[in-house]
Amino acid sequence: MKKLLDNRGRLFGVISVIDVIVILLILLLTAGVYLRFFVMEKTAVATESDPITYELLIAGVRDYTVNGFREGDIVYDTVQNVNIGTISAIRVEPNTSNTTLLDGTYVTRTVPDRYNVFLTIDTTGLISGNRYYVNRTYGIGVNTTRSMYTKYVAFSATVTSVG
Amino acid sequence: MENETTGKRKPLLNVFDIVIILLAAAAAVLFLLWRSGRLTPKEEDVVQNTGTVRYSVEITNLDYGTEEKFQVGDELLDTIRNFALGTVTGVEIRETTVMSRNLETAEYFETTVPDRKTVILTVESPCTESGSAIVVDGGYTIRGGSTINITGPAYYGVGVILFVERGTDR
Repeated sequence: MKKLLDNRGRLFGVISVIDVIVILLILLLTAGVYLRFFVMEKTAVATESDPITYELLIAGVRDYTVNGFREGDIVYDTVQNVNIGTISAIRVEPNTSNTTLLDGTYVTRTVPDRYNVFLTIDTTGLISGNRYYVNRTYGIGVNTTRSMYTKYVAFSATVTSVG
Repeated sequence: MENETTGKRKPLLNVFDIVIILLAAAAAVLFLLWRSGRLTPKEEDVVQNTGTVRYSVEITNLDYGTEEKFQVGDELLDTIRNFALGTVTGVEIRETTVMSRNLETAEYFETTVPDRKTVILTVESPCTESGSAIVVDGGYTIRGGSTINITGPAYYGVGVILFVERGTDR
């Protein structure tokens, strides 16, 4: 019968005690990371997702871009590459711009063949302390401008309302 | 631990130890990636269709005469990574216009730029479609509104993708 630990420090003459300790440490570390980031966090915020609706403004685009949007399209953030909601309504208005007259006064003028597109986006997320987090992590608020895309169009949009 | 005959210190870890440690660490990393879902593609990234896509590219402000270089049948490549972008199936030549402003009334209007042309190319290419992207045969993701650098037979151009035809509209 083999000894439990031979004179070279191997268990049953097969594997070094140090190897066994290192493997156990790595397994424990893996289990710890898994519990911390995939189990404990979920139980700590075990609330249902809140519905979030927000509106995006895509300003001064041509009809090609306007026609690229359809209700039901999914919108993604370009930087984080995450789904940030589905278009539930589209509103199109003529694009206007504030400009100066020769006497220095400002006036508002319509820009021909340019449009402002308002997209209503429905999604779910976390509403915490009057802050809105799409998918619990992607913070949005009025006046933020981000690069976004759908399957068919890439664009820059400003959040105009959240609720 | 010292060798009694040579007096040299034995290394703390031998090659076998290091291999086992690396294997265990790799297994741990794979396990965490698998649990985080990063090893499985997102639903919207899974290829749903293969087919042909038609899209249009606008190249503007061309020197007079340059627009004649663009021909139906031209094979386009992306100039940055040499991706195949498809075949030109239509060429429309227009005057180049810019938005300008009447300084007295502040009204905006479009005006033609003399001796400058704009070309709108219709391009067709085999593609794969997922829920979030259309990737043409060469591996290039196309979306309306994005800038595209193209090269054809003996010409280059920087343009904008005007629109990408939807599968339901094709």
